[in-house]
Amino acid sequence: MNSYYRRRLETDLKRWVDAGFVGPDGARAILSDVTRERSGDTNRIVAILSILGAILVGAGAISFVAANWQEFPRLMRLGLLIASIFSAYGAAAALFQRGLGMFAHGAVLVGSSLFGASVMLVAQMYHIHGNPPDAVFVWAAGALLAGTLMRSNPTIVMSLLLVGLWGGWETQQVHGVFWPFLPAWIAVTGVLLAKGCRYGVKLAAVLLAIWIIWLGGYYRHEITVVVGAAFALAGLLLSHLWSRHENYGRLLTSTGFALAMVGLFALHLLKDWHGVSNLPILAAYGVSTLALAIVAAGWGIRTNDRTLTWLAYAGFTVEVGGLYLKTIGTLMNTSLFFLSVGAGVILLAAAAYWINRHLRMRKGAAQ
Amino acid sequence: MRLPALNIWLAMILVASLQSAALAYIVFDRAQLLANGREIVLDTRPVDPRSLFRGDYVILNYGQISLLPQDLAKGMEKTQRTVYVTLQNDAEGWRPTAVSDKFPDAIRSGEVVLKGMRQHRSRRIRYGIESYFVPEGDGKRLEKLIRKGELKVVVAVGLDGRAGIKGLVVEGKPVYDEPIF
Repeated sequence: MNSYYRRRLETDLKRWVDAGFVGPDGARAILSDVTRERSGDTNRIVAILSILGAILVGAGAISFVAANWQEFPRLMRLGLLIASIFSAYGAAAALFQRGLGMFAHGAVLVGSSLFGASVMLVAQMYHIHGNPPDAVFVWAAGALLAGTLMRSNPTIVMSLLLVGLWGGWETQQVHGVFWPFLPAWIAVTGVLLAKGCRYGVKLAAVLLAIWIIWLGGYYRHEITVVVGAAFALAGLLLSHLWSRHENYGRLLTSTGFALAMVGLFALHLLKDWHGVSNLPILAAYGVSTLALAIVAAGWGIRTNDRTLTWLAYAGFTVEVGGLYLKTIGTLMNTSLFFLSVGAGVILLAAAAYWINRHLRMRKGAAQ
Repeated sequence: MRLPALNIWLAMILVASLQSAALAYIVFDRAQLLANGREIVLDTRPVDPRSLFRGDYVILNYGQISLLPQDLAKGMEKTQRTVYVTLQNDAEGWRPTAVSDKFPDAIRSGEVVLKGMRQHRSRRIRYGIESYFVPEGDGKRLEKLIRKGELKVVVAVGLDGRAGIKGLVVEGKPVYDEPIF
């Protein structure tokens, strides 16, 4: 809870008490409830600090071992690495048992970082210069195992990020679509869903969206638009038919919308539209993209979906900017285009207002 | 879906053991290769002396073995990634004589086959023996030796074509890192 919300609630409550909606006792209870929730913020800060601290400690331990590497014989180095892994997870288990969950998550994160560093150090120990993404994959698998068994979501999220790094690295090397990314993504996202880790699932959605945009780049951008539309549709269906999973439905809708928009941008904003005969096509793209953004914004406002609303505004802005740059210096009159689109949007708003009023009047008449 | 409640200590031991086993497997696999693989000595050549020294490891380049000659590279499929390069030993050292996409059926006694990964549709092949980690500060000395042509690399080659660095030959004398384990 932020203090902005609390301040707003204070002024609103004063108004509501005056209007007789809420009794003075109720107002006090509501305010104290909000204040109590604020102490949860301190917990979150502790958690964030302990995780950041864990990352730093892990980095420090790794660089110390790496710097003094040559002093130890090979087998001892391996023993050192294994001992460090055991002690990190052991510390995590002890912290979990004492109810210090926030520090325990940090310790699991340290353990998994140490595992990743150990894979790299073993490669260094034997001068293995194979395929570096393979090491990242092994690391991701180890982190997924640790996060799942030790029930630590931050480490599962780390595994997700590593899967992203692995996929990106391999994509760069193959110079094509790297399909193994998909099953790996499904595995980690499945665990995140099962654990109900909301921020992890959101991150997974972003990662998949990037991959699909890439896919469009290698094949055709139409793919991105079609997949995006399918996602958005699936999301709408999910939130309506299965209200228990409304949050994931919304996430799917927003991701699908973002994908469709990026696909549309790629289809008409990256191309050169020379010649007069092509201009109607560009205009058709422009009008449909803007219409999609407006519909999405409207839907976002209607369903209180702030992510979708803001994505729609952002998409609208990018489209207007892109069209402006595309139509500058062409035979089509830029200002005329914007004037007509603007007039269309205003007409649309007027129509929406009229329909709304009409519906309300009918409802009023029915009562 | 909830996983059955697993004792946290049991989980901890399971995670740490499995991760340690993965590390031990990598070490064991490598030790096996170094101990049993066929030993060959390769010349290293500096192609771009400025990029040789980077951090605390030396980048090793093996001349024609690393950058296949045009006539050999012609036989590769456009999108082929894994390649098997047959080397033959003559007076000038090991030299690539054939390239194939599968491990060759017959190898003569003077030949050895290396499994490599092709760099994006080019003639450049990586075998996993392209870097040698050195103690801090020792890199410059090794770099100089490579430039003078006085550094050779001892490589162990497994029956499946995988290669691992066993040690270095500095000014004609073999210098091994340390025992395999």
